[in-house]
Amino acid sequence: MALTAAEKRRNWTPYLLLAPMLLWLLMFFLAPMVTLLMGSLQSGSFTEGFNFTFEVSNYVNAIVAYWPWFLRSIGYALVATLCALLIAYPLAYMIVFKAGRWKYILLVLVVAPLFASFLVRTLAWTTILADEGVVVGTLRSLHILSPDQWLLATPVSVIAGLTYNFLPFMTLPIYVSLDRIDKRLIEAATDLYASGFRAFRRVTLPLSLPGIVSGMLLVFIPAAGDFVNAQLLGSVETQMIGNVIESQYLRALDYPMASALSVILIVLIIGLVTFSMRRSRADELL
Amino acid sequence: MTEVITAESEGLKQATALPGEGDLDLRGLVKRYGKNTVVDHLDLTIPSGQLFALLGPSGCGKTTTLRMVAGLEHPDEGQIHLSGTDITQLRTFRRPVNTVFQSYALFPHLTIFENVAFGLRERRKKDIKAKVSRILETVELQAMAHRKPAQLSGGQQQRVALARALVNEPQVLLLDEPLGALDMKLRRQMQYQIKQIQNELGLTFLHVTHDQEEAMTMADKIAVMNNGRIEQMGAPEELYESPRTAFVANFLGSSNLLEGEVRGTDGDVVVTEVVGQQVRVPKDRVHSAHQSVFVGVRPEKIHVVEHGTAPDPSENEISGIVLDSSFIGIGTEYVVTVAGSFEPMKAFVQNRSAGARLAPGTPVSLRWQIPFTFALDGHEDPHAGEGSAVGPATGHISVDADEMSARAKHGPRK
Repeated sequence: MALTAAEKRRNWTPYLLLAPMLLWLLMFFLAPMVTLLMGSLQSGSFTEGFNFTFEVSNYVNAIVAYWPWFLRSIGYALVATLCALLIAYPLAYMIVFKAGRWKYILLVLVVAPLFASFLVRTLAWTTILADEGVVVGTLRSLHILSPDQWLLATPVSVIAGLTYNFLPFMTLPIYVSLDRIDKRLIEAATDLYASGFRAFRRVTLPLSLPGIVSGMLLVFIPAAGDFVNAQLLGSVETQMIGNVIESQYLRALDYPMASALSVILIVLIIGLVTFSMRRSRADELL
Repeated sequence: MTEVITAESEGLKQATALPGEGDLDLRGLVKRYGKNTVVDHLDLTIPSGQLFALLGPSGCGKTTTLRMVAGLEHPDEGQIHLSGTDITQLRTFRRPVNTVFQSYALFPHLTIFENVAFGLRERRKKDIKAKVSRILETVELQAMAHRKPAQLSGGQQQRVALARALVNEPQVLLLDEPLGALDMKLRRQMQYQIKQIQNELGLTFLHVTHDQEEAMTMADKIAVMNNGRIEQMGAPEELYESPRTAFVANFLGSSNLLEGEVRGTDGDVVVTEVVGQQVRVPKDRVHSAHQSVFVGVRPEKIHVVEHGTAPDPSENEISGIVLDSSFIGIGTEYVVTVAGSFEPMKAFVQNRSAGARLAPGTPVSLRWQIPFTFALDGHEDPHAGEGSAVGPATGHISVDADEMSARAKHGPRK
């Protein structure tokens, strides 16, 4: 049976409606990914040109040469995520439950650092953590640091930088999930013999888990691939995989190696996130 | 759902229904929000084992009173005693009372079973499984035990909220507009079931509502609240038949209130003059210290007869002219203008006799038995409490706009 013109048009409608979205995905997600993958399987050199030779050895070389950097990145990112959680949760809790009319001002303050450049903010930390700075001075006078110890160019400063830089991305989702909790549920819990702490433990905390999970993802993922903090606040000893990729791309000009490292990092992050979400059954919360 | 409780809850009944014990006593309770006094020197004793209703329009302080009993608000003045113990300073979670919240406030992340078990777990009770199953059986929700609240209908959620509070065997169960979000039919059904449960468990229920019909159907005793004070307290019949204030007369059902003057007494009746006609009021139903009074009678007590019918000495009579009549199935409502009164009178006549309705313009006599007459203080606002509730004749439930929007905002998620 022949379709009328109108029917033909109707069959196309869903695809036409999807087209902008598909185009967007194609241009900004699929194309870069394919380019990256192709690039990672090339061989050659910058001066002689790169050819696609299905060079799987790039991956082997990348892992063999740089596995400590991967490990360090994951480790730093994990610690930074936990630190951010420990700071952001009480902060968000206070903004939602205790701040009263200061609520929105505090919320703006949480976001305010994002208005300044990432680089400028990170550079500011070199002053804060400098050997003559306030933090080191205080820690030394409290004998937590001995006079021949310092903070800058140590893992501590890199992790502090990561924590600081990604803190808003932890705070905001937790704030949202706490703010969404019907306060009468907490009243109901205390009415049912739960003390303040027990009500938090059994009602507030479980209901804010979606915010915790989103916050952890939003901090862990960019932190694992970050190179600015390690570069500005760290030393050769504290380099992360982001630094390696950066130098492979921009200094060594070894594009296949840089691409392979990037692909490995992506796969590693996706794998870790999926695994931990499955393990903690957090995927059901989102 | 009703017969299940009896056998198992016998012990509970004996433990909580001892006479004199378990009385809830509110003394001089005051609560202010800024300059606004929400509860104003409230004194109230709720005897153990009763279903007691706090009835009033929204904003009258009834929910605040309930929340103070629960410990969710702190009174600025006054004390709360339960079974003779001062619980005013006791933290919420230490009080032996439980609340059924208007929004139900079921924990969305817990199953129905865990919602109900919440209070038992907090108090580290034994036999949680058995107790929860038993109460879920009582409210006919055993099959839903492993669902989440969002998967239940509004009526089912309401029953979970009830079970979650009841399972703790509180000394006083506080119900905050528990049926507000249910439709008419379900509400009727739940009114009956709650009353049954209360009867069988013998627990003290403090029920806060703005629905006068619900209060009268369910409660043993009602306290009508207005502007943070108790206007009148008593059994439903008492409040309805002998209101002491214009507010109560209008809020519970509807009343005709006509301006009048006390002229003297004649045995055990007080003779008043209303629009130039004599109206007799039983002495014990006169609640005014002044000469000027409002003489009241309920519309359904009046029968409407054509003018010129022989008078009956046991009845009061006021003549007027039919202004309008409306047929509402079980009865006819007449609006009658009375010479000398700005306000027309309303009469509700059951359609028991054949014959045509009286046409507008017909001169009529409005007659009613003397014992149905009451007299209120003439300095009161005769319209107090009007419009906050709807009389039983029409039967719709009035819900305030702000309450509706509050419900839309915070109502149970579906």
